[in-house]
Amino acid sequence: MEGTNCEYEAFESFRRSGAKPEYVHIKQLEDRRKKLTDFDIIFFPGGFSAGDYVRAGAIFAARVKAASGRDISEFNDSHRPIIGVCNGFQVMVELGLLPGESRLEKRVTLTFNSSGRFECRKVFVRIATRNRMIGSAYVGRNAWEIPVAHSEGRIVLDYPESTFNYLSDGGNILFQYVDPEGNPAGYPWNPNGSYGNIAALSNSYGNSIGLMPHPERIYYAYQAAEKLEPAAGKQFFDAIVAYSKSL
Amino acid sequence: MKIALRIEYKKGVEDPESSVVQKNALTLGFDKLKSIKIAKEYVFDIADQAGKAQVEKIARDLLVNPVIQEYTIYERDE
Repeated sequence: MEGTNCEYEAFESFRRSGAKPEYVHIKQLEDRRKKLTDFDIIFFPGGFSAGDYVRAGAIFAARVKAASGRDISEFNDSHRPIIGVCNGFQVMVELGLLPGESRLEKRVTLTFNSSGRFECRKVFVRIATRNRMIGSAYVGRNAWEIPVAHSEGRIVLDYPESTFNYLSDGGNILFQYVDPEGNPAGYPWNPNGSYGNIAALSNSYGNSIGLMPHPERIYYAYQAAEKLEPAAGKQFFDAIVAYSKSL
Repeated sequence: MKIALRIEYKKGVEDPESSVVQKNALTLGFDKLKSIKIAKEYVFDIADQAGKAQVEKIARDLLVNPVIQEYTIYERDE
């Protein structure tokens, strides 16, 4: 899709973690040269697909739905990993893959940052639930450094309190923004004003994950300001690939 | 025949763009502007009444985010 970014970093991250990645363009799905169900993992990259016109991810999602809507459902039902980063997260929400609960349909969305700015810098996240793919990858540290770069990353909930509780109880909130000590904190630690400091969501089963931060930009510790081993990105891709191979 | 689709934020939804415009308008001396509401309007040139139904459908399926936005559809002269 025109306007994506970091697909190269994501490609290399999957390869370094032991997968055999392949680029698939939306047009290859539209003309049936490729079929999503032939793969083991789907990754929607970040960027500004279709120029972010209408709203971020909306046009990309509409085209994926038209070309491969049934394949996506089948893929998800088989519990294979579907990952969306940044714009990819927005695409997954638009597709209804996240939070993936019929009860929450049309109750969760992403929109412009409260700051009114494009926020491009490091933040810290902590794991907020048990996830069958991520497992114990983020145990042992209260705050993991990871980069963000977006202007439409604020998670807005309809009926915020009850929806947040439902998401929290259902294990749908995967990562939350925190300060360097691991405490929930507002701006600037929460870069976009997301309700409840939500940085990432998963579906209830845990095989579909969307996150605003970019794990593919911090695969190695030397890409982090703190230089702590292991870096958040490697933990993420190692866990996804390991889960996929276990199926 | 022209059909307009007007999309705006629901009441109570924070709109950072309008906040920025209002803040800067105040800085520029426009001190009588109490608030600013930003809306987006699409104008469709349609062939017949069936086109009106398609405008309604594209609004619901693609253009409107129902969690935070509401919309109105009306006929326009030009």
